[in-house]
Amino acid sequence: MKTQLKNKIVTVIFAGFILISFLLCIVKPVTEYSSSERRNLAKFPKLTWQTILSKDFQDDFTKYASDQFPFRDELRTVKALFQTSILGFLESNGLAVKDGYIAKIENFTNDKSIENAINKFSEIFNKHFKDTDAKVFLSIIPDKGYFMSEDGFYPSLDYEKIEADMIAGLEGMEYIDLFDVLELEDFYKTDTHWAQDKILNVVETIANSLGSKDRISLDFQHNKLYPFYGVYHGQAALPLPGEELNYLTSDILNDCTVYDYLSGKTTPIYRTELFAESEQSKDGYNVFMGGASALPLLRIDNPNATTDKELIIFRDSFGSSIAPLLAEGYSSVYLVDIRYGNFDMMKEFYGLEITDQDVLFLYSSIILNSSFSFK
Amino acid sequence: MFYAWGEPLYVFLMLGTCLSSYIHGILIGKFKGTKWAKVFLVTSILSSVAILGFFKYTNFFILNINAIFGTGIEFLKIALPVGISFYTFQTLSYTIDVYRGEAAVQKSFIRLSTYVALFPQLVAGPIVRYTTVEEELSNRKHTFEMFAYGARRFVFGLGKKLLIADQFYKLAETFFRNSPEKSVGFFWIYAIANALYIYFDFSAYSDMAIGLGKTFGFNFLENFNHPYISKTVAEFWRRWHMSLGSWFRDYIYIPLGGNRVSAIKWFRNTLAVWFLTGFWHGAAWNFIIWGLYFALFLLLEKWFLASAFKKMTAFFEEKVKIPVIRKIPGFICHTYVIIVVLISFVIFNTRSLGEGMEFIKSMFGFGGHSFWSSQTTYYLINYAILLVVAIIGSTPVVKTVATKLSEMPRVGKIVNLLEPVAIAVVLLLCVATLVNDSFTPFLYFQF
Repeated sequence: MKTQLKNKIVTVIFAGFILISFLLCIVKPVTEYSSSERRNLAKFPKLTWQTILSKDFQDDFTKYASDQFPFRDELRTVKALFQTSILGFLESNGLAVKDGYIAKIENFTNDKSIENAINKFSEIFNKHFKDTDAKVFLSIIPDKGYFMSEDGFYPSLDYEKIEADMIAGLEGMEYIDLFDVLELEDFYKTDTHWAQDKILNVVETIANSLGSKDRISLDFQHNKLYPFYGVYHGQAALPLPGEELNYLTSDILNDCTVYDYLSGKTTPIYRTELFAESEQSKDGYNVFMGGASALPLLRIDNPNATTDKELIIFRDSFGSSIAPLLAEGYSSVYLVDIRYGNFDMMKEFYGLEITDQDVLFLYSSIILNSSFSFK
Repeated sequence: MFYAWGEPLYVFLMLGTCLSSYIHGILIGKFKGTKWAKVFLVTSILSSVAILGFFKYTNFFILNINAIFGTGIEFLKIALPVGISFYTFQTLSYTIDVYRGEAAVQKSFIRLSTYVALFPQLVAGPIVRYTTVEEELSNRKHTFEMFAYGARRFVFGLGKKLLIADQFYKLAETFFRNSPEKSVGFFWIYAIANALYIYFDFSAYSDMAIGLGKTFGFNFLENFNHPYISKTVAEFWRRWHMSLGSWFRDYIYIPLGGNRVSAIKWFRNTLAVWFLTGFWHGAAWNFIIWGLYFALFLLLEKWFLASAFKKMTAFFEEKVKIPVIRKIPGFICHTYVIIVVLISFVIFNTRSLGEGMEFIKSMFGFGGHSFWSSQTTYYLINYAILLVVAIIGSTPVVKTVATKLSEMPRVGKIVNLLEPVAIAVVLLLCVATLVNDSFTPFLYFQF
């Protein structure tokens, strides 16, 4: 190619790129929500003299232009592929990527947060369970970072310390070790949560400790929803395929109902209608009793229970998918999320009575490491 | 418009500076050869320095007065106007050059303002001398060759900024600083990432400025010439931020007598220039120490280091026959410069003098950190390819290879063909990075 022709081509590419981008930005309709990033996109900022002089308009316009740029999702994928495939980065947008599994990189063990969780759990234990016949258990769910850092050098929390501190700080509780029961494959590749169909051994381990194993059959039918895109799928922006989201049913579970104390509504255990909505904006994991939604108190009622025994689970979103599998062994399972409500108030307001329930504090290491939302 | 977008109020300050220079230029020209020319030169310098001093250095002096005398003088609630150090130096060069007779008086306020407010280089340099663009302010030519060169330079500059510099910024300022597992190795990785970030960030802006200038028909002088290949600190400064170095040389160092004075005066001149160089970069002690740190090495080189290096090189060339071993002196000199520069940029980018000292101590194993950690391995592997790309990219290797290849008859055609493709790819990657990340403002915007 002659140099003169090359210069003309370069000129056309450069000027054309700017011109076409400009025109596309003008004609492209405004997108309000990014389903891949699960967030509202910036809107055109308010234009006044005041916002111009304070530079708010300029700052907000930069965000707006970035958010509304044509082919934004595709460009984010281009960037993620460039960094992981060409530059060999082990992470994309702050998420570690290993063998198709994506996990948030957490490398700072927040001792104060662990201490806060211990204090909060102790307070609840001492006030409500210490002098009752209730048996209280503690279990920690290692996040994917634990397994991804096992054989390599991915930054991770100091899981040994978290576990040791929690056990030492909560002596009145019996500890159930899940670190050796779980493995990376038990989690969704693109989501933070474990997959319900992969945690039957976890259910068995917990039920054994709780003494409810004899009342649980662990005989479930597998039901598939597809495609499931986890919370990290859009964040990482990598072109990863959708996953299967399996939920387990049985005749007993089909008869169970979930009562939401906040809304006063009763629903089935699995809300598969939420999965269809997940394509627009919602989280597919919400199929499991609302999944990661802000639900301070739920109760699973098992009309076919062979016992009057009840279970109270202090939990985060991981509890949403495991609780149904434990429900067969109890007449009722209460799910308490103290990130969204104070237990004292819940107990008082809803008239919960503590007698001889089994009580399980079941929290993921990520939540324990950022526990300041506990109320 | 460009400047007003970022500085809607201070744009009037910049226009005021233009007006001041315009009037002073005319007065200096009108009274040329009389004492009044000198008076107007002095008022021009004083007014420019006063504006720069007020906006950039007042709070620094208040801070130090409060610290020394225990007073409670309140800080001025003013933000530093973007690019004020650059355009102040440009307007100063104009009036000084007019006084010296090296530049003609610009009678058009629009043209003089165009020179000062020329948006490609307005906020972060290079410091373009008026004499460099004097002719082009009136007569510019536009060709496909210039436009294509400018576009290529701009796109590759943008790529250097977004694809390389910003990634090292994340490593140095986010991953390293937030890491609970720092090690001696990680401190060195930080120092390297920090130095690469500063180089690629600043030289990228110069590339973009020079490139955009070309597309508009202006020919700005180069600002960087692969400084990290230098074998002495003096050479490093001949290759780093060349427009600033030459500005201080021509307007401060030489008027003070340069090196054609007594040893004491030359010592004073050197310290003065490097004190001012550091202070120009920022109103903080770490910048002053950074400037004086370089002065120290320049003095050492002048006194004995440079001659010692020469003797060592001559010895190896004379006595050693094996080519690889003959390169040892060059390697030692290069290593010396790299270590001096790495430490200098730790000082440059530190958040406090205490932190800077702590980092430097830790680099040499006196910080109480382990030698290595798993996180050090993680980030080293994470950035391995980019480190190699950046280190090679900071040398003339890529340019040399590309030039040689393009000169080869058949390969040259392929290189010519690939160049537009490369530009399109880099442009695409830059846009992809921009829409995904919040980009890091150019480091030199704060100066």
